[in-house]
Amino acid sequence: MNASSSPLSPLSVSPSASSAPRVRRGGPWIYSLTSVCFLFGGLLAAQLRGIQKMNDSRENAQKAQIKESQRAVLARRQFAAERQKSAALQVQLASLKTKLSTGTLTTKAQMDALNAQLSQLQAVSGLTPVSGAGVVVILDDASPAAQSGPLANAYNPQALLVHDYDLQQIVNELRNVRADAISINGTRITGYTPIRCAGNPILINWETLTPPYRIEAVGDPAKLEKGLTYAGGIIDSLQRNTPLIVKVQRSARLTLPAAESLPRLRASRLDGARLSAR
Amino acid sequence: MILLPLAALILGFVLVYMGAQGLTPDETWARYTAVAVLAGLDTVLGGVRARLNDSFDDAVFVSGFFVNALLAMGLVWLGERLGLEAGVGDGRISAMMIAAVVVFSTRIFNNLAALRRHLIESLELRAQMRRQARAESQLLPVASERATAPNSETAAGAPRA
Repeated sequence: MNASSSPLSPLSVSPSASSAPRVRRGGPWIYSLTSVCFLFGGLLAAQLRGIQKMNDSRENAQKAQIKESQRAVLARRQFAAERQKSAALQVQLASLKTKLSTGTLTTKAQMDALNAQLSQLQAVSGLTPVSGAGVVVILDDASPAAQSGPLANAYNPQALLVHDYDLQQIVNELRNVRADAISINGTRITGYTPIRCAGNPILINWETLTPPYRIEAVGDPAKLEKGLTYAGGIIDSLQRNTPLIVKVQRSARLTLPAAESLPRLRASRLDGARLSAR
Repeated sequence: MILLPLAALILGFVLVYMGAQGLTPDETWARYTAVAVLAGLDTVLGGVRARLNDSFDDAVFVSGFFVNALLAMGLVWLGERLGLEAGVGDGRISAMMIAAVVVFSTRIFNNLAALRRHLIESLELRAQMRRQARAESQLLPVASERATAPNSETAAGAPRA
């Protein structure tokens, strides 16, 4: 190796070193330069590629973000539209609800007609209390004096007591003269009320009622009285033929209670009956 | 002479560019590697210039390549650690990186200027040499004439005694 191969700093003052070229033989320098250049080329390529990829990914991310924001705007608009629709529907619902609650689905005239019919039906079926002028029939067993009086032997002992058929006949007679309502001892007599005898006591609507029996009927007092007490009628025959105490009085103000319950239809069925406004 | 390194550079570039399809870049390292590449470029050009100046030393060159690259990366990293940054938050700019870029760019410009000068000088030298060669080739037959017939010339000055 010649002196020029020493890799000294440029400040070395040896004349031989300064004059002689510091380049070595033609071999090594080109190899090192070539290999370093090769390496550098690779590095450069790697860096360029990396930056390129980074930029691409950043662009993609931006594009995705833009798309996302667009979608968000669209979704927001859709949401606003849906909310408007829902508000409109809510208003509609509220109006329908108020309509339903105030019940203006039927007209007032229909309602009045229905109510009138209902009251009529209730009255005639005995479901409402009725008050007005009428008659009172008082029926009682024979007084003890009469029971043991001179006429006692002439009578059938059965005739001394009030029987269910007596009451039934009186009720019938009252219906014949169109009494609006009938009650016996505070029990309203309807078309379905049974009056029956069970030994001594009389069962009215399956309740034991004891004499004296006070039969009240609401109607025209004069007509009722006349209709009851005509010659040959039940009142007349009872007064004549039995020692029972029978009295018929007019009354200016009677109040009859309502029947206690609706009769239950046990065997029949309503045949498509409907309430209709007349 | 200069073609082999150039070819090597191009070859290396193409190989890595086409080959590194699957690699994913690391954003945290991108800054440092950029500065290292710049340092490497500077070193390569400096090596070429040294070769033209006949002062090329391969140990200096190779060590310079790696050391400069690592040094540049290290300085930029240190600058970031020290907080030598301008701006706030995400828009921060590393001042050390700017300095490294400026310095290496300056050196690259200088080296390129030197290379340019060398190139121009060598071209001029070559042209001059060509002109001289042509001139000499023209003068040569006249000189031979002169050599073969010196006696015919009785020019003033040369006394032949």
